[in-house]
Amino acid sequence: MSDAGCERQPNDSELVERTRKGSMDAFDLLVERYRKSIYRLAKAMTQNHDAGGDLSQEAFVQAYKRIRQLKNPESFGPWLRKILVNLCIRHSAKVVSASLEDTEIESPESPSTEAERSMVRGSVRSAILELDPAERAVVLLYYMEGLKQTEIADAVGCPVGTVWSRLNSARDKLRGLLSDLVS
Amino acid sequence: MNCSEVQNLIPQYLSGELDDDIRRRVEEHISGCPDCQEGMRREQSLGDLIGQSADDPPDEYWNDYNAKVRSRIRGVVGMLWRMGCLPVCLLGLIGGEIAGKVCAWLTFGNGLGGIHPVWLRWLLDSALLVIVGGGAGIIGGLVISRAITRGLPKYEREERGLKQIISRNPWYRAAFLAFFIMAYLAAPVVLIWMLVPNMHFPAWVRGTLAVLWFIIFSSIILGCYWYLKYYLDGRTDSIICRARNLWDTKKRPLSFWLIQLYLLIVPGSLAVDYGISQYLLVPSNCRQEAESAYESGDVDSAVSILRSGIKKYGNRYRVLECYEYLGRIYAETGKWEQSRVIFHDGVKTYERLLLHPKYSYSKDDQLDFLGDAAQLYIDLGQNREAYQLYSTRLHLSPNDPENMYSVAQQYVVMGYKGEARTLYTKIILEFPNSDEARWAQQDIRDMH
Repeated sequence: MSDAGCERQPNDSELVERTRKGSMDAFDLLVERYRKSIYRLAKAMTQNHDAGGDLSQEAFVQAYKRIRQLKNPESFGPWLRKILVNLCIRHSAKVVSASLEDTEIESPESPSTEAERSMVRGSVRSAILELDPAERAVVLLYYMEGLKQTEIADAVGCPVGTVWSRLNSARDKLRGLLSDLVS
Repeated sequence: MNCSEVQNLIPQYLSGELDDDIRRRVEEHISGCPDCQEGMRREQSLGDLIGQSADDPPDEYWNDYNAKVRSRIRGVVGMLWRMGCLPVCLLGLIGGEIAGKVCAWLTFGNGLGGIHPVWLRWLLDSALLVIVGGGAGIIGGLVISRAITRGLPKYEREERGLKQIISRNPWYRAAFLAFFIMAYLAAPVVLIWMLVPNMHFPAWVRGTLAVLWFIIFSSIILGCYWYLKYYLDGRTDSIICRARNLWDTKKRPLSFWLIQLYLLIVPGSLAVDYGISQYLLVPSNCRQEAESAYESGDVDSAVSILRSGIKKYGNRYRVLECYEYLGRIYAETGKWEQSRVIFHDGVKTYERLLLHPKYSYSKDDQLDFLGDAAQLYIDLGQNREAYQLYSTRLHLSPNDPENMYSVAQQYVVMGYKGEARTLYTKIILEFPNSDEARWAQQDIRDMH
């Protein structure tokens, strides 16, 4: 990314092909390209920095190992996201009680607006954590990643109708939990 | 368009997923309706709140991120490489030498030393090796497996496998590695050390023996490598399973012949592999292999892998995955009759497994499988079978409004409107405050 403008950045498809031929550097570029968004989604799914980091790395590891199974190399991004979502859902199913480890509810040093903002963030995260993993995935893909429902259905591996009903159910729960903030 | 319809469409309106015509109608309605304007504001505010709740870690977090991913990709083989192969090999050889001396003392020191002729002693010694190697494999596999998975439910053990547990814990990895090195290196070292110098064979016999030992020794190293690569790198779970899957696909890459050679010449390898694959690690993931074959367009291979998976898994949980995927492949390739048969068998197996006291399935899994199977029956146009499965689903989780609601929705799709209405009414009466009750009321209105 640093030398953008000097030379053309290889696209995902080229990098996937090079990875398939054994180039670890090409895969490094893919990691570099997607790590932030993948981490952000994993963190939001688990609401935990360590677990999010771990799962985001695991998603890349799985992607690398299964890279030959990817039918359309240009759709590496959505495919990686799909792997991550599955990992996160499985992880959440295992973790009985997730913990909000790094939510700064109060910070005496911060100015009041900053404290207020982090309090709001804390409430939203707690509310997200209240959702069941499948609903959480749908909500985050929709609101955070801005995906369309067909794309979400692909990422989560369920029909569009199910996405719709999960989204509705999650939205109602969130509105209930965040009634003060939403209204 | 009334308010309720518009409220439902607001999220799609905001994400730009509506057709022009519907979008225009929604806009017209919202512009003249304060309630829906408020609904839209709330939806926007919810989206903003969730969007803003995400945050990034400090920049230094990314410094070693790629290195961590690389190191996880390399797994144990990479770890060894980084540790330096030499000390590890030396440790293995020293361990093997010590174990060899113990074996030699046991074999020749007291018991077998006086046995003549030499071929009989050699035969007995080989038998001992098989017993030592194979026995160590099975017992070691069992002990380690039980120790690591203690407390985990059976379902969890089969589904998640030990690969992840082992590969994430350096102590387990080290124990696993040491176990292989000891089990495999001890046996040939003792024979090289004891047999060859002690027997007064002509030079050409000793030369042949040396070559033979070299082959065995290399195959052992190769075997260890494969074990580590396949087991711990998560590629597949067992060499035997891998060989069997290759056999099923009728492909004969070099690795296939190497595996056959390895299985043929290493004493005790079959037993060790059996012990490991049965007790220590999960059976190979046929579903994954088949998925890979199917996605690359090789339908025949995918089908044969899944068919062998159905035979192989028998009463194991994973057999359901094979049935489900095979049914889908048949359906997608237009072989409806086969698809129907496979799904029918799958459902029967499911019912059998459900009653099996050995397996503990999570309720979600059971509901999912029933839902999947029923959905396929609907796709096949066999609504009666689907109806029966949905009834089972209701029976399985009778007091869950979510389950009831989704079943009722499917009843509507299948045209069983009377049953759907009964179910909707039941939801409304039994769970009046639930979301499902609200949706059910709406659905009943829509049905009218």
